[in-house]
Amino acid sequence: MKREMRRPKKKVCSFCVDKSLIDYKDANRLKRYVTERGKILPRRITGCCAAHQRELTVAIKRARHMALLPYTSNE
Amino acid sequence: MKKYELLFLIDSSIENEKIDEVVAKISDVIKNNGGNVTELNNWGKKKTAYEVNKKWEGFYSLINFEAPAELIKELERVMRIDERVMKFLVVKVDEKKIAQAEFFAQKRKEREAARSARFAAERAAAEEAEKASQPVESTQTEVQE
Repeated sequence: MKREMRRPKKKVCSFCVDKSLIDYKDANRLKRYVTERGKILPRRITGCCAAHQRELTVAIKRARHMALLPYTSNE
Repeated sequence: MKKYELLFLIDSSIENEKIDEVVAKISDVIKNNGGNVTELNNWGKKKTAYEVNKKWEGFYSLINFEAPAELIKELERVMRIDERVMKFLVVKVDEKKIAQAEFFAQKRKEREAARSARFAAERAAAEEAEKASQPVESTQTEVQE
């Protein structure tokens, strides 16, 4: 028997696992949570819990303000 | 007194002495207004993610400091006036979270060290077992034939 709807595997929030700080200065880490175009990835893709996703968006926005991350990119 | 963190971007097309001058000026503003610089960290010249003031480069500098709340206003005013400061960001430092993160990072390190020690022990044990089992294997193949 085949299941009709394939539920994606439940992701675990990576920030909950290693309990690390979300730092706006760490642009290399934040890069993983934005698209090539520089948009912030949604929670269903990052797999972050609500609290950490909220922190993440703030960190990304701060990094953008300081020109550590692009607001948008055409590459 | 609260702990703050200031990250700012200086125009790097000016001479190096001028850059030091700007950093010194900013830290003087903190010191002269009842603040206390705890850490100064120059990141140096870095590429910016987008064009800032028609330039693709800037000098980043990070200052950790303690200050009364009124100082921030004055500090931001000074930085806004100074044309060499292209961007700045003052953030309140969340000590609780940093302490927590450090605590868990320390714990993780310990756990990893313990794990790698265990792996090494297991590998040594496995190698020894292999040595002991090799003659046994050869006898088994003979039986199969």
